[in-house]
Amino acid sequence: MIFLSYWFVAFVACFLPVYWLPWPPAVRKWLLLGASVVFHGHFAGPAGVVPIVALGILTYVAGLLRSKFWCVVGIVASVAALVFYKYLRFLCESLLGAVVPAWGEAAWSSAQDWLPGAPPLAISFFAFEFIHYLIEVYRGHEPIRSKVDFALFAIFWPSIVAGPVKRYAQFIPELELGAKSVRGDDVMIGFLRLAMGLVKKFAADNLTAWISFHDDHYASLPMSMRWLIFVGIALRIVLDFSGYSDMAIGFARMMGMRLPENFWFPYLARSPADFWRRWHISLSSWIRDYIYIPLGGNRMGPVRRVVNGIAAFTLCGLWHGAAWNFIVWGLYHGAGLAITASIPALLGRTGARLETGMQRLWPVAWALTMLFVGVGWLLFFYPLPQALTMLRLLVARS
Amino acid sequence: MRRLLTPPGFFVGLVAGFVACCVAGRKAPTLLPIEDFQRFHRFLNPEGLYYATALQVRALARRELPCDKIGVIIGGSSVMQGVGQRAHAAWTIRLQQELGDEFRVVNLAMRGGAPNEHGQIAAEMMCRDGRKIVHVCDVFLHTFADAPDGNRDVYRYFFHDARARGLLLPLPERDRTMAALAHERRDDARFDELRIQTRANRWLSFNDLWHVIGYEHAFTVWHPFARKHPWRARKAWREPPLNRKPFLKIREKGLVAVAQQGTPYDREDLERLRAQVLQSVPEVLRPRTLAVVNRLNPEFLQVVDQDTPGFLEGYDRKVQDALAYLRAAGLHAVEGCVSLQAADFLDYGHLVASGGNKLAVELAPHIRALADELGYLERKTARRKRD
Repeated sequence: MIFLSYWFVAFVACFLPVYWLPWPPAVRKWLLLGASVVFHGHFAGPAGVVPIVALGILTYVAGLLRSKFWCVVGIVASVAALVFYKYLRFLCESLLGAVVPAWGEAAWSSAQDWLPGAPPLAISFFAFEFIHYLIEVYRGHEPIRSKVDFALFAIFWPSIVAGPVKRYAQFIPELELGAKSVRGDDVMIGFLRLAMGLVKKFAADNLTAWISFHDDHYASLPMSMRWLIFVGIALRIVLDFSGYSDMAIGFARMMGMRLPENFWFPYLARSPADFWRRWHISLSSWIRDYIYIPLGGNRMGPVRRVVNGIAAFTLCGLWHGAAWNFIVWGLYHGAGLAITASIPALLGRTGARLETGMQRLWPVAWALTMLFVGVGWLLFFYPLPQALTMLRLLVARS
Repeated sequence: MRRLLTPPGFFVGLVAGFVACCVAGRKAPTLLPIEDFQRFHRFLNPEGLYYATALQVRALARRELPCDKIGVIIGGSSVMQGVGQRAHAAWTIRLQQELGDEFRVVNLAMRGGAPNEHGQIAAEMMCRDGRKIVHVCDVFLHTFADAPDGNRDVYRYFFHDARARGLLLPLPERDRTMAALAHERRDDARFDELRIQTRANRWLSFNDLWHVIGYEHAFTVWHPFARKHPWRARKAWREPPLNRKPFLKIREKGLVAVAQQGTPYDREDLERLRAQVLQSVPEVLRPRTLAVVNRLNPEFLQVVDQDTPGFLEGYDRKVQDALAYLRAAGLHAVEGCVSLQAADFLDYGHLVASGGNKLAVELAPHIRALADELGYLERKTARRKRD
């Protein structure tokens, strides 16, 4: 947990007071860039920094050239880096290995020579932000011309670890505002937001310890306890993820910048679609804008819409980690979204009545959505057989 | 609310609150020391995520060891902690009885602890206070202490906490070794974190505040040991009875451990061990330290000797060699558990109540003799005569 390390506390305690001094905007930006380089260098190490610097330079130059060819090259390079660093083992062992185990093993053993011990820190965030940038430039939007601004967009330290996934059109104006002046109000609100994030993280860590302890003897627990753990798992992830986001948003606010909200009371959602409008908003909107809509979205008929949704959410699942359970989780959500979106069209008048009924009986819609989301978390956290066993044990004694 | 919450008020409150917490953290361990202390148990040690701070232990030692008594600080491993004996029947209680009212015994040994960890550091703090103390610790045959900050990562925090606060006695060899170790550990993020934590805590006392709150009012970290009442203050927890099953199950492992004790020392081993003592124990503390080399369960020794003829002879020689290097390094060293039978042991090394009592009876004369040698008893007699 980077934000809870003593090194990080010392880093923030040294950096923020200096940043708050009345510097000219250009100096402030350089200060922020220096801090971001120190932060990234410390936590990622040389093996983690080099690929990001290389990708960043390629992305910046491709953007400046405004050439479609170079934008595509940059996008392919980001995707390739993501696949190489994060998914190569999964591709070798779990995909190729599932077909021809010997090939999978051989591929992985030779790939190991090329890979660092761990993927570069936050490679998924970097890749998604660079891809977004290049797609926007490809679509004709203005690129970032200033090297400092681009570097800050790439390695802005509050959002490196756990997002939100930034959009440069939103970020650059905020950066300018923060560099110009930091108001007392911003610092105060940032502090409060940071405190909120810390409280959430504290609760999430306690829940994690509690859940991990009960994992081993889940089957022998009474039914009420199993349901309590089911709820605990759902609470843990929202507290953990949104706690991190709160801290990132809080730190940015202390520097006079507003990062986009990432979680908006997701457990108040009354449908899977509503849930995804509230959950990890920056990621789900990225998936929508750069995968779902380019695939055709809902413009090419109901079948294509279902296929597009499932494909987009499978990728969303895979983004969270290189393992089958994340893919299954993505598929599950994609299927859930497809079914709930298709019911009114498939069932005709009955479907429309059902939809209206659910809007009126919102507690039922809410409960069903929470059940759907909760089952999803079992798939997210546990290997499929274990998740299915846990699910069965929510209704069966043994 | 928005009108009330203005930046100036917020920041004044924030700074005032922060300063108040720092001052409270600095003062709290002294004002609210650990009560009814018998020994560290799983609700008061790192096993249960409770990392008693140097200030807490100093306050505890100051209270348990009044200035007019001779303080006997027990350090070292689980054998000295009394694992195998109930808290109210631990060997240190018998030791207190044996030593009489002139002495006060406090048991700061830890499971898996080294001679230079909690007990020694507390002894150093008491020496700095000018107290009359004797530090009693057990020493394993294979090592004294791998590093000046101890053997186990989990206990190293205590050395660094005391060091950052300047509570240790001066020892240039230790400083040099720590500087070399810092270089070796430069890529280890844990030590980086520990270094920053302890230095920051020296000025801000956040660790002390949190541990006092956790002890007095509510603990904030969930742990399986405390699962029935996870937030209950640690002072409300009593030491649970010992689960003997794991000890009884590991007989085979014990035999292997015993068999390893027979390998004789070579010259390099002895030099290494002596150097470990010199870089760990400050000069002032060496004459005040009674290092005990406890003999292992005779039944285990016999079994291994039957399998490996000549083992027992080698073991006896090794014990004597260990005593010799400890004495050469300036410590007082004695052999412990010499009068114990197999029934006095829980496993190959830990003692049951009868074994603990015998160990107390064995060590009391040595402690008394050491106190006498240090002049503690004479001064007392002289003062009494004067009065």
